[in-house]
Amino acid sequence: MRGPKFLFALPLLIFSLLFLNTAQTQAAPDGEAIFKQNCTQCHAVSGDVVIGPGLKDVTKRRPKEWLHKWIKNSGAVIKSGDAYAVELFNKFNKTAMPAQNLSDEEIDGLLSYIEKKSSEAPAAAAGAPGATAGEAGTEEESDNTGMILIIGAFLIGLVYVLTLISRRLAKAVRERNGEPEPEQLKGMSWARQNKTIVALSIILLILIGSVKGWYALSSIGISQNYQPDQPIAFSHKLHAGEMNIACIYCHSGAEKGKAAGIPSANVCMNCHKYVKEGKVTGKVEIAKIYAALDYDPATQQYGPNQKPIQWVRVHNLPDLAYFNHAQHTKVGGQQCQTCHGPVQEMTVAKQFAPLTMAWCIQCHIATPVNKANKYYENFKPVDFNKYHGTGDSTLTVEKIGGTECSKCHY
Amino acid sequence: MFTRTFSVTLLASVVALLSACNNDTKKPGYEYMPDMYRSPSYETNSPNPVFKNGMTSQKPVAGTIPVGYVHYPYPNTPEGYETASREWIMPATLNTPENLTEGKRLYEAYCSHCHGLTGQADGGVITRGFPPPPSYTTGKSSRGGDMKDLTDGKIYHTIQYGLNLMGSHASQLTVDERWRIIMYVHELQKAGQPAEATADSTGTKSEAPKSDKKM
Repeated sequence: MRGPKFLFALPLLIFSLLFLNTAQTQAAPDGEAIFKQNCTQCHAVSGDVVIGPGLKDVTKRRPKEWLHKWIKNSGAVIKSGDAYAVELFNKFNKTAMPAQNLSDEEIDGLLSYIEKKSSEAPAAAAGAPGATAGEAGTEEESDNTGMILIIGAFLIGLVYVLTLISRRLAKAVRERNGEPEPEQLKGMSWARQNKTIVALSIILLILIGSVKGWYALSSIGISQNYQPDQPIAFSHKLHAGEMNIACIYCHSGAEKGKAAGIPSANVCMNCHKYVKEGKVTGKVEIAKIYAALDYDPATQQYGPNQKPIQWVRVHNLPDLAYFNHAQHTKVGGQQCQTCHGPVQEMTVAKQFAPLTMAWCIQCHIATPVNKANKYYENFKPVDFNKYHGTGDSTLTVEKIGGTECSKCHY
Repeated sequence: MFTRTFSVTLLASVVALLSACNNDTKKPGYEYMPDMYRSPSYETNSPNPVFKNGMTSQKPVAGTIPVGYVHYPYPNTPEGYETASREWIMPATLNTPENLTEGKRLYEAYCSHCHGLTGQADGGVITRGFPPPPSYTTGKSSRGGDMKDLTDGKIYHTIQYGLNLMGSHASQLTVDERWRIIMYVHELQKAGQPAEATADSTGTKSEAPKSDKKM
């Protein structure tokens, strides 16, 4: 009976805890809202420096009256010659905190919110690793090659055991009936006895082998599905998919020139100056950006020993073919996904298209030119068909020379 | 004898078949003539033994000016910001409906993941916990004044140098792209609900292009 009683008590306990929690939040009326609206652009509730100092335990560091004065007009406090204020001002590159138009009650609410957050910070940090493990589990991609191997081995084993059993049984039956061992099993190999089966299986193996071999040969030079490990476990799924960052935000060369470009690390730092810890990989992966830039998150200073991050190239056209990104995205109005596939769903980037010449050509034949591009207004299909006489009025890339050899090979 | 021969053959064939199917996606695979795929010339982002720092994409020599370079003369100081606000004004010739549409597209690519599609600071990065920037319609700039009153020069200055948590976007956006984005940001400052409002304003703009949009 003790178990059920305890279970009844549990919801009550949770409920009262919830109630306590709400009561606590109400004591500091709009502290959180005020903080989020006015402070988060430069300050964190934790000890981390964002633009200004981290505010953890700020109420222990400074008296409340001072904080009130500072928040209302930090410039005046500095001018008054307050030693702490001047030191703070100099430490943070002489960037003054803008005066905040807040009432005394609002500042009190704000400070009690910071106090509350400072005291509960360790608990929040302890909760984080659990969440990490959960998310990492869902992100894992399924790979069933191992499964197939196990099933295959199991089936082979099963066949072996069954044949063994049937042989033993047959032998036992013969022994009980006093029959002699059959002639053909004495000292003669099974293969010699069953030449047809052996011949058939050899022919079958050769057939399967040549078909497989043919496909293996035709896949030479094609790196479709190539998905190398990268130096940093960057997830396109997270950045482009879940956070909706456009491809060209980082690969801004894609609309401007031949190469889409690998973003230089200053683009990473647009966000990762603030985001120092990921939900899945923690601090390890983001620290690699800092290492490449010789950047110290504590002082926010860049050092002299900067090294490029050596990403592994996924898409590679042979040098004998010329490809220009701007020509396809800006001029032709193609989406990145047409060739690169659903990158916004890929945790690790992989080559989606075969990138063979046949693949290029079939698209050039099928795709009409980009009507939004005013240049093609001069390319009237009527004029064009005069030379080709197809009568087909769709102006495709092929009709403006998109399948000429020298278009790409020169 | 029977079982051994039989099972060995079976096992061998299965292994052969499986190994033929098993593509290692961590490797690019075989190439017919690797030297035609990977010629000695250096690609944009490839390593390069010729230069001291081992990179093909080198920084231009100090003092290099690209063709069509537009110099932004104001320093990243409060005075520079205010001077830019007075003097750095969008060329009136850029004010066309096509450029506004292009500005919308660029804004959505370069700004919306933080500032939000409607300028309300609700983009995909913000909803995951990044501190939001002030809204274009109701927010206040940390450099003083309302966000809805930001001038051409002030917005340009912020794109050029960054502000608070926003980094400099000078390496990603050309001067022309910045002006187009600024055009669209002005629309967001006015509107508040751009999903419909933008389409409307694009329409009205084509009839009556306003050249002096200074506030």
